[in-house]
Amino acid sequence: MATVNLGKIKLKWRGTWSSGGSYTADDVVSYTDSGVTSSFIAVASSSNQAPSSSGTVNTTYWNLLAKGSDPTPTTTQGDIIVRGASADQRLAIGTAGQALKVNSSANGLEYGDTSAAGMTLLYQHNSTGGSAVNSFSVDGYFDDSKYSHYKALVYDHFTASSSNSNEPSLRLNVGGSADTSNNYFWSLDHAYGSGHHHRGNGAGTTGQSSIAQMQGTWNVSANNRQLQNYEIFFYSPTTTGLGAKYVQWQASIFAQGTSSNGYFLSGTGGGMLETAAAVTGFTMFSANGTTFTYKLSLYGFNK
Amino acid sequence: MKKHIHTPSGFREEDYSSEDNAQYVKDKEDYDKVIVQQKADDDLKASAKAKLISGQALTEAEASTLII
Repeated sequence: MATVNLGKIKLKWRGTWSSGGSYTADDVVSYTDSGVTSSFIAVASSSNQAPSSSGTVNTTYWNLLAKGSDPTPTTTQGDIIVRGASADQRLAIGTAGQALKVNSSANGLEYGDTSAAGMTLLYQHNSTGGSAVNSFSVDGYFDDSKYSHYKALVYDHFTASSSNSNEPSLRLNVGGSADTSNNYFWSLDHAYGSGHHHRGNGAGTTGQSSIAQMQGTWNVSANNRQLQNYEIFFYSPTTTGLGAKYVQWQASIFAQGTSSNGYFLSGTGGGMLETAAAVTGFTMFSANGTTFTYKLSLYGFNK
Repeated sequence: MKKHIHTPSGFREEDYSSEDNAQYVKDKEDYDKVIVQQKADDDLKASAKAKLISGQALTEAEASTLII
């Protein structure tokens, strides 16, 4: 009686491929090549013929049945996966404050400081909640080894007063606290709709104990409210031996009186503290004791 | 009176210390003196303006208040 060989009438699962096994067509094995586990189907009899090597299928004896996917290369919280030269690879998280950027060869990603240009936000206080205060101090953020100069934005500086204006004054901090010596010199120029003022103690040799009245003693009696914004620049504050530390500022102020009076004022000013010491921060305070709320951002200009 | 302190170690709100209050008293005195002085400067400027309008001679101090 004639015999007809039908071969396998279904796939035969042989488990994990073994170098000592003998395989015939339509055997199916699993095999891990370069970390990727796939299933292969035999297309010819073989023994000790690995289904795949370095990602290349041994097609004389095997075909891919189902290709597996690369296992994740991540190992640690914060890792991300990036494409390397030939395969996905792990990129470990950077340190605090670093940003993801293109590397110098422009062919990959890396974490690093964005110091090539621009500014770094050193600190932000953007809540007007809590108590209104008479002063605030910002200290410990200046570092001239990293930044060439600094810009503080003091904004939404709001005074709700029924009696008098708020008169913001500025002191520089030395050793963590405001320097109250009589070594400040300053001047400013401001204009409003129908007038102009210049203020300060820039002339003469007698200093003052603060950069006083940054808005130039703008005084609208019987205020309902007063809103002010300042940009203050600090130059090389932690560099010692310069003899003086300089600041410059620009201000815009709106004061609303209880009557129909309302005034908008813009001004620019500059000042200095005669000192060879490092300045560690600054203190703004209300010269006449009026309370205020405010927001604050401090930036360093990257070297 | 209250103050805010912002440092890399954190933010805190505190009442003025006795030293802060003493400094405030001194600052307020200085502030009042500056206000008086600047009021005098503004009066001088107003006087200069009035004299210019009426054609009178200005003093040197009045002339110094003008930006030319």
